[in-house]
Amino acid sequence: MNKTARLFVILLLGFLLLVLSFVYAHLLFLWFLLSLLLLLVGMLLLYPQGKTHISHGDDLEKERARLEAAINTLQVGFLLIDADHNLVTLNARAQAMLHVVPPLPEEYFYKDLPIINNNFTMQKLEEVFSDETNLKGMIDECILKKKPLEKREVSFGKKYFHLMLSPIVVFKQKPEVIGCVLLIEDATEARVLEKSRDEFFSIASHELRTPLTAIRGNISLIEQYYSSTVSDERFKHMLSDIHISSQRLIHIVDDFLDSSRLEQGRITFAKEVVKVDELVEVISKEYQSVAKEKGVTLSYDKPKTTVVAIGDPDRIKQIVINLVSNSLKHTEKGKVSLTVTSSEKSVTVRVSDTGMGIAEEDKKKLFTKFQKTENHTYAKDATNGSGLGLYISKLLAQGMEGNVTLEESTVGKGSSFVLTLPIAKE
Amino acid sequence: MAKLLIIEDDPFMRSLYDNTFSLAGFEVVLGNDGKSGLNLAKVSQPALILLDIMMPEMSGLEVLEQLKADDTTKNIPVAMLSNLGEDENKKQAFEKGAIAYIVKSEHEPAAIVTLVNQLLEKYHTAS
Repeated sequence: MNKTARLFVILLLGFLLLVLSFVYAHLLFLWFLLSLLLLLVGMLLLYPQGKTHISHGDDLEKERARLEAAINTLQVGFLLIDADHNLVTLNARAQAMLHVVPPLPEEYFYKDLPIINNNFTMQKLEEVFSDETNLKGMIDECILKKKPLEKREVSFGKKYFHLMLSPIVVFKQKPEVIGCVLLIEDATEARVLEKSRDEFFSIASHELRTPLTAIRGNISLIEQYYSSTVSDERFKHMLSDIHISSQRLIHIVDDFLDSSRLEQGRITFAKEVVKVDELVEVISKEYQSVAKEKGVTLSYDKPKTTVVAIGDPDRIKQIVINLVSNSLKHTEKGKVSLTVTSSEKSVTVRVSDTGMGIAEEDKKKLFTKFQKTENHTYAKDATNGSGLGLYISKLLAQGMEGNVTLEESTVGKGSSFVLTLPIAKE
Repeated sequence: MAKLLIIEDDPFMRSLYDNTFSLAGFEVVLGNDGKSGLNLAKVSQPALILLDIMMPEMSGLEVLEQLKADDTTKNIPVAMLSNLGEDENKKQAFEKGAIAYIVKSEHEPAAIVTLVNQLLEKYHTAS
């Protein structure tokens, strides 16, 4: 603008000088020449300016075409709705998804389809979705609250859409919503995949566990009811090996399934008030015989007052059992001690042992999937071979907003693992 | 000793639980599928039904629904005995009226006997 103004001043000066040269005819010819020169310079300078004005229109047109093409080639449905609930823009993908136009080759949509279809109004858009979807309500809420909204798995015929609404906010004196953008994503394929994954879990767990359960169950019954009829010690030993192996195999299958479920967020955690001190006491009693067999002392220093955490009792039990059996497995002499303490925010279960300890370079591998430590397969042994015990424990704890960490460990002296859980406020 | 109806399609599982409970002194009635299981429930009136889920033609959950819809069987406690361990399976079973959900692979036979004894005791105390 400043440049233009300057040019006008130059032109004006030139023009005035020209007029003056005519009015005062006695003025020198030089004046006349000077004024002509000024006019010429001004016009020359204005010319490209004028040209810019013309090309601006071109640029706008180009920009508009570019935006339209971009919106039309989006792989999601794009709809622009103004604050008065008018459908302003509807891209090719949306028109195809909502059956506004009959199915046509993709290239057609991208190139030629205008981004508005006058036959498809806001009313029609609201009608194509079920009452349950309540698209109008969603748009109202988005504009009113100035917040993005989304709705998953909205059924549309045989398909499932994911709807995302975002308000268009402009800042004048204060933020003002002038409409909203509705994005529609076809989530049908994702849903089919999800479903087949569900089926895989059901089938894998069922098909693998069933024969394993039969093997373990029958051996268990033989040992329980017929061991007196087996006099050959070697035979007895073989039966015992089959039993233990089948137990290990079931553990491995369970660990695989558990870790996959956890990774995919498919495990739901109960949020209950759990008396951690009592839960640990039960586990401590259960594992006394295992400790005794190894000649290791298993002690539990029960707190004087009840310690309550928020979490899933079964999962907490699973974690503590894993930590305790881990420690017992890696402690040849000495003791494994359990403590339960609480602070303002959390409950801590500490499992310390006088076992083999973990080397510095192995510490960071402990909680990763399938990692075996160089020294001894600490993580591996923990779950009878799956290498997932600590990995699962950590994921389980994190699912309850807690954690499992290695507090300290020295090779040859022992380790101390800690489970933290959010405290239950009374 | 209490009478148990075990509805289980897998022959190995059926014989395992038949042996488990017979050896523990229970009177065991066996159903090979949902249809025969429903009939046996009506006729034998067991103290408890152990019901598998994944069965051909009629799933255990459908059998459970029909047991609960029939006046002659609706009061018989039903415990699911399955190797399906997903939370969703358990939720559905409890919604349809199962009193327990036992994942087969999680328990040794002796532990399942203990569980069943506890359920029987609880059920008799309740009724």
